Amino acid sequence: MTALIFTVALWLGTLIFGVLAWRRRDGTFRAGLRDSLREYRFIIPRLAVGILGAGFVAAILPPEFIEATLGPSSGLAGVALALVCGLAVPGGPVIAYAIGASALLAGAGTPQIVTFVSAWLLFSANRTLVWELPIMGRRFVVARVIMSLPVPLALGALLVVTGT
Amino acid sequence: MTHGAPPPSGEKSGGADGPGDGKPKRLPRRRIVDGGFLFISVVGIAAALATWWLRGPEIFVAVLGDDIWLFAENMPKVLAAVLLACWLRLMLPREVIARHLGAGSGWRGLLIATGAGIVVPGGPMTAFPLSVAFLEGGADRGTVIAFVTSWLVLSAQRTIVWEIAFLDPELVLLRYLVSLPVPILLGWLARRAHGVLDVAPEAER
Repeated sequence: MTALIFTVALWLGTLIFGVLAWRRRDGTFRAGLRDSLREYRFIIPRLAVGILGAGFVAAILPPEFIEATLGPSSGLAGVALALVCGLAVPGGPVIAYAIGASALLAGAGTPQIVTFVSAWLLFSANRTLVWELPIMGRRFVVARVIMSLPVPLALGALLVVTGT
Repeated sequence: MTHGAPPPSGEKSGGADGPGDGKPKRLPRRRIVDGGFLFISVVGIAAALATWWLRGPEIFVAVLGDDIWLFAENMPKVLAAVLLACWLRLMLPREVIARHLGAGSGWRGLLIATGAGIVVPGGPMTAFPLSVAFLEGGADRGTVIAFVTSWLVLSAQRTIVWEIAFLDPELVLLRYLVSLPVPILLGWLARRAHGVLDVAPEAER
C-alpha cells in the first residue's frame, strides 16, 4: 500500500514537472522526454540483469556462512567486514546494490547492509577516481574522504547498539 | 550513475553546468554495454546455471519468478523517477541555489545544500561540475561538502531508481533516516577544518 502511494505520488510529481516544462514552450518538454528515453535505454537493461543476477547469486550463497559473518548476530565485527566489502566493490550502483541484495536475501543483517551501502556510496573507487578527482581536485577528495571515513562504521554501530 | 565513461574534459572547469551560462547541455552519450554490464551479465548467467545445477529446476523457476515480479514492480517507479529527473535537470534554478550557499549562509546554507543534494538529478557527470560551479559562484567549503555528501548518500534519484529496486524498502528508509544528519555534520566540520582536512582554502578569499 505504502509502495503504491509512493509510486502514485512520484507520477503526480512527474506530471507536474511535465506541465511546467510544457508551459515553458521552449523545447524543455521534448528535450526532457528525449533525455529520459536515452536514460531508460541505459538503466533498464542494468536493472533487469542486476535484479535477476542478485536473486540467483543469493540462491547459491551458503546461508550459514553469510549468517555467521554478516548476519544480525555478527555485530560490530560484521559491520567492520561490511565496510571492507563496501570499499572493495568495483563499478556502479547495479553491482553494489546487487551484492547488497544477494547478501540480504542470504541472511545479512540490517546494520551490516547499511554500512556496506554507505561505504560504497561515500567511497566508490570508480566514481571517486573517474569523476570526483579530475573535477574537484585532489585536495577536496582527500579532505572529503578522511572526513567521511567514520560515517559507515558509525551508522552501522548505531544500528547495532540500538538493536535495529 | 555511470561509471564506465571517461570524465568529460570540457566539464572540468564546471562551465558546462555552471550558473549564468544558459541551459544545461544535453546528457552525455553513454555506452549501453560496458565492462560493468558485461561483468554482472556473466556473473548472473553463471549464478543462474549454478542455481539450476545445485538446487534444482523448481528453485530456479521460483527465483526467476520472484525476480521478474520484483523487476516489474519497480518499473513504474523507475520510469517516473527518470522522467522527472530529466525535466528537473533542465529547469533547475542554478543561480538561485548558488546565491543561497555563500560563506555567511550558516546552518540555513547547510540545509539548502543538503536539500539540493537530495533533489539534484543525474550522475557524477552532473553533480561534481555543479559543485565546482557553486564554489565559483561564492559557496563556502562547508556548503559544498554538504552538497556533495548529500548527493552521495541521499540522492533521491539514485535511491528511488536503484536502491529501492534492490533492497528492502524498510531498510532503505532506515538507512536514509540515519544518514539525514550526515551532510550537515560534515559541512559543519568542513567549515572548521584545517590542514589536510581543509577542502578549499583558496575558495574563500
